[in-house]
Formats: sequence, structure tokens, C-alpha cells
Amino acid sequence: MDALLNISALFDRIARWSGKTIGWLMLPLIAVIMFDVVTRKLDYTRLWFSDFTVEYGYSISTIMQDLQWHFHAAILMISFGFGYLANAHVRVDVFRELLPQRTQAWNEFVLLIFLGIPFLAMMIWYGWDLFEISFWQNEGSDSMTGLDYRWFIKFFVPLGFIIAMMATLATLFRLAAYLFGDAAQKAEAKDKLEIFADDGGALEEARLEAERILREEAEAAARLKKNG
Amino acid sequence: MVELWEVIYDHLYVYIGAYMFLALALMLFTGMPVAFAVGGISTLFAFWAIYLEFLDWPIFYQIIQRVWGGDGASGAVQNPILVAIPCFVFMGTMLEKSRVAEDLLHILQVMLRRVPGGLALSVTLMGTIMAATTGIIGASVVMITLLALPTMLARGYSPALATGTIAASSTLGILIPPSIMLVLMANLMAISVGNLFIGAIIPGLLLSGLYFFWIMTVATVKPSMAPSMELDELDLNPTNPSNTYLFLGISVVAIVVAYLGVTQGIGEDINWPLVAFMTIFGSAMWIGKREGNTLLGGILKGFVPPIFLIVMVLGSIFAGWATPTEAAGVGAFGALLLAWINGTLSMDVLRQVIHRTSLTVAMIFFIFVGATAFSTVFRNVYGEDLIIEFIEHLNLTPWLLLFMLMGTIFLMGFFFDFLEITLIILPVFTPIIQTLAPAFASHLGMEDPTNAAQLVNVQAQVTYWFAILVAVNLQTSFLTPPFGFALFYMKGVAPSTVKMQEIYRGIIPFVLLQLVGLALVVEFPALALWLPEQVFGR
Repeated sequence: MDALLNISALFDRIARWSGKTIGWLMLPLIAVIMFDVVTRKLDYTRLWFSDFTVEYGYSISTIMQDLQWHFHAAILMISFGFGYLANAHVRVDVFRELLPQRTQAWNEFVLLIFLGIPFLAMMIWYGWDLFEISFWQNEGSDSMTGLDYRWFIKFFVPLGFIIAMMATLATLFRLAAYLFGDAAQKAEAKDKLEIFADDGGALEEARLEAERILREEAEAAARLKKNG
Repeated sequence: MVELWEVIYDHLYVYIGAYMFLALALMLFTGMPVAFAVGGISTLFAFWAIYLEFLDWPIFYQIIQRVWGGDGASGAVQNPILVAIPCFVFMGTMLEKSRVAEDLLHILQVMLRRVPGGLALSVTLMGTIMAATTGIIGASVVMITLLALPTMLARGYSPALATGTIAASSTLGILIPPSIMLVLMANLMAISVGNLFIGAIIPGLLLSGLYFFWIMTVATVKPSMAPSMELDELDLNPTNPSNTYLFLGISVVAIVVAYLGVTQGIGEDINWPLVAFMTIFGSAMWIGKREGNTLLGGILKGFVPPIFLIVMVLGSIFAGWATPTEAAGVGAFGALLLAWINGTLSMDVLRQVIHRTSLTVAMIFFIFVGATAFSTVFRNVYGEDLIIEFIEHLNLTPWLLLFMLMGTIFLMGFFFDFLEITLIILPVFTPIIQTLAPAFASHLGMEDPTNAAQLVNVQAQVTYWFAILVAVNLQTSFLTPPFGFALFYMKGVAPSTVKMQEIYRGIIPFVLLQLVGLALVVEFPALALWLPEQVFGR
């Protein structure tokens, strides 16, 4: 059981780290779009860059437009696992939040085995096919002057699902420790799991914050009345 | 025995799609992440269908290929249109975390202090402006509640009016462009994002106008529910008049120069309107900084920047100058710029924004992947034909059918966020509404189609109209007690003195206003279709 917890700690670290890191691609994505807009839509710079195209024979703009969705693809595929660990994925909580935590854990445990894992397994298997076919064909861009090596970005599809699988297994092992382990393992697992509906920590914090602001404002208003 | 097996086989062969739908409905309510529930059900039913030899293993490759996209259709990955989503999410999160939203609310309160119900109106106005940016119901309700509710309660607003205003205004976000929901809808229904954005503007403004009207009426008739603000609570220095003249002077000069530049044809390579726009914005920032804590300074620093951003994003789509993706990228850059000018762009804020963005993107697209798996398997076991047959069997008039579809979506809005509804249900409903399209042609003021080209045109127009109807409908549904989605989030973050009954009581007038808005869009399709026609031509 301890081994399972250690493995889930490792998987957790990998999935979280990759999700957090890949997000920084937002900045180059914005930069690329800005560059593309400025060089294509402002007459002044557009003319300058079209001279460049004439001279060197390839269009920067096509490459830029391919790059945009390449960044988008990397961000969305790699962040799935991080999303699951941080419990950011949408759930329909109307009934689940009425259940005690142990039942919620059982629920998640069983359904992960029957729904989550087969789904991800099939996505990994056939995602790998997608990459492999592209690799052996040495697939290029759809447009003549776009980015080559399409297989590189296609590799992110199986990779993303593998990372999501790691996050899922990390959760599954922790759930196992929580359901079947001894007291210490149970405490550790529960501490690391973020899937429960009723610990709504974020909302509780927000509510306390709102109450604090409210109290301060009431005090300030009372002071103002006393002085005036 | 063999005969019994054949009967069962035949039954499954026909109805496997129906069982799939049923299983999905059950699994969603277990509270699994929706993406796992949808994807898992599709996988299990695909296994089953493979076992029964309806399908073969390559069905999964087909799913992956549809997730990938690349054929110009509705994939998630190789799809230039959907690049707009991470950019809009980034823009909204940035505006929230860099306190641009907070400053905007503050200055709106100051500007509207003499109007009855000024504080509530400023929340509506902020909802209308910031609507642009969040797009996820839960997030925007939480954000606006935290920003506005404490102040409203401290100023003596009735909790019912305050919560009603906030819930209604913050759900405007899914309707008023740029909204993530409209991007997804346009992508799934294979219509133009820019066109849909522009079509949603009038219905969105109509709704916020109705809210305005209602709040002002209440505040005038029963001032105790919405007391006005005292000026001395605001703590502002007097405005320096010379700075006002300076700003007005610069703006007028910039506009005149731009006008002359365009009409006289000086420097044809230079985009004069853009230069004027940037000059005015730059001088607003500069003078705002010089003014500091005064009314003018507040307006220039708090009100002008978000307006500038929205005008830039929507204006560039409007003018046909940029695709929605490019506009979104420019908007994200603009949000970064505003945060930097505001002095709140620290490494820590940037890290938070980026983490938040990747979580939201993961949330949206994981459901996208699950929903793609579902619709692929569903279509391959002839589920869609089953639904169409069922509807033909019901033999309803087109109008009755439209109301039935809208009613279904309304009911689903009680339990699901717009993501599940647009991604899972809309692909099923769109073909139905497209087969019905000719029946609505005369209602939309078009002639009955007599050839294929006209039919395509009529179908496109009806689809736009339907998309807007669904958007307004969903927004209403999120507000309707006892299940309204927005109300639960609201209760979660509101101070514990606010009772659920008060929230319910406060929201009812707004739900009625929404229904009025919905009825108007149903009755007068021109509300949704007129503006795009003016902008893009038919």
C-alpha cells in the first residue's frame, strides 16, 4: 500500500509539473498572434514583410498560423492530467454532495475502473496510432509553406492521454489507500485527494473573505457616522 | 433459444443508441467528472457494439481523428478557430487578477451615484462589459459576488435585490460577446463565429437594458431597497480642469488628424484610425496617472481601459479586420498591457493567471474529447437516426417541436453547465432544426426555398437564430429557482446572513425579464439577424 502511495506521489508530481509548465506556452502563443496580426494587418509592416516573402520564397505568416494551433494543441492536451488532480473538471454535483465522503470515494474508485481507465486506455492506444502513421508518412503541413514534422505535434495526443492516465492512476491508488489502508495511509491519502465535493475549500474561503470585507465596511461606515 | 437471441439482437441493433443515451444520463448524475462519464460510456458501448459485431475497432481511431480535426470541421486540436478559447480565458483571468475589474466596478459606482439604484446599475453595467471576458458561469458568478455583494449589503441594499442583480448580470457573460460559449456553439454548428458574435450583441444589450429598467423602477418606487450613495463616502480629490481640457484637446486633434489622413490620402500605408485610437488611449493613461485619485483620474484609469479592450476586440471583428482568433490574441495581449500599466503585473499574478488558464482550458477540452467520443459512437450505432425517427413519429408541428427542444434545453440547464449542453446535446439537436428550417423561412422574412442554394441560406439563418435562442434560454435556465446553477454558486460565496429564500425571491423578477427577452427574440428574429446582415451583408 505504501508502494502505491509512493507511485501516486511520483505520478502526481509528473502530471502537475507538466500541466503547470505547459501553461507558459500561452505567452509565446499571444506573441505569435500579435506578430501575425501586426505583420499582416497593418499596411506599413505588411508591405515590408511581403517584400521579404518575395525575396526568400516562403511566407512567415503561414508558419505563424500553424504555430498558433500547435501551441494551443500542446496546452490543451498536456493540461488534462493537471486538471483532474486539481479537480477542475466539471462534475454534476447535485446528488454527490449529499453523500458521505467514504461513499464518494467508493463511487469514484469503481467508476474510474469501469469508465475512466478504459476510455483513457483506448485514447492512448489509438492516439499512438495517430502519431505513428504520421511519423512513417513523414507528414508535413497542409499548406505548402507551413511547418513540417506534423508527427511532432501529433505525439502530444498520446502523451497528453498518458499524463491524464498518470493523474487518474495516482487518484485511483490514493482512493485504494483511503478505502483499504491503515490509519496512517488513510490520512495521507485523504490529505492529498482533492476530489471530494463537500470540502469545498475554495468556496468557504471566498465566503469568509466576503464576510470579512462586509464587517470592515460596516465598521468604516459606523466610524464615518460617528465622526460626521 | 436461437430465436430469442435473434429477437434480443434485433432489439439491440435498433435501440442501442437509446440505451446509450439512458446510460449517459444515469452516469452524469453519479458526479464523476463529466468527461470521464461521457467518454467511459462511449467506450463501453463501443466495446459492446464491437462484441455484437455492429462496429469494428477502428471506431476508436475515428474518435481520435475527430478529436484531432484538421479537416476544417469541428476537431479540438488542429482547429484555428478554437485557439480563441485559451486567449479569451487568459484575457478574462488576467483582467480579474490584475484588479482591472475591481477598478471598473468602483468607478462605475462613482459615476452612477446620483442615479436611483446606482450601485445595482453599476453591477449590471460591469456584468455587461466584463461579460466579455469570463464566460464560465461558476467563475463569473463567484467573481462578481465577491467584488460587489459586500459593498451592496454594507450600503443597505436589500439582499434580494442585490443577489438578483448579481446573479443575472454575471450570467450575461455567456451571451454577450466575446463569449466562449458562442465560440464553441459556432464551431459545433459549423457557422461563423464573427457572425454569431455580432448577432448576439442586440439580444444581449436588450437583456441588460431590461435589467436596467427594472432596477431603476424598483429604486424609484421603493428607495429603501436601494439607497443612494453619499458623496463624502467616496473620498475623492477635486478634478483638475486643465487636465480635462488637455485630454479633450488631444482626443479632438487625434480624431481630426485621422479624418484628414484618411480623406486626403496622406501616407496611405498608415492606418490612421488605429493611430488615433492608440493616441487617445495613451493620453488617457498618461493623464490618468497625472490626475491620481480624482473623478477624472478614476474614469481615465478605471473606465477607459476595459472599454478600450472590448472595443479593440469586438471592433476588429466588426470591421472585418481580424478573425475571432486574432481578436482574442490581441485581447489577451491588451489584458497583459493593462495589467502592466496598472502596476499589478507581477510574476506571481502571471503564474496564477497561467495556471488558472490551463485548468480552464483542460476543463473545456476534456469534455470536448469525451463529447466527441460520444457523438462518434452514437452516430455509428445509428442513434441520430433513432432520434429523428422518434421525432417524425411524434408528428409535431415545427413550432411545437422548437418549443420542445427549447424546453429540454431549459430543463437541462438546471443541472449542467453550458459546456455539457453545448458539447453533447447541441450536435444532436442541430440536424433536427436544420431539417425544419424551411418551415421557419417565412417567419424570418425569407422566401420559401425553391433550390438547393436558397435552402442552404435559409438553414444558415435559422441556425444563427436557433443558436441565439439557445444562448438566451440557457442563461434563463441558470437563473431559475429552485435548481438554477448560478444561484448555488452565489449561495456558496455569499455571506451566511444571506438566506437562500432571499436569493430565490430576488431572482424571480429577473427570470421574468429573461423570459420577456426570450419571447422577443422568438417573435422578432430580426433582433438576432439584422445586425450581422448590416455588417457582413448576406
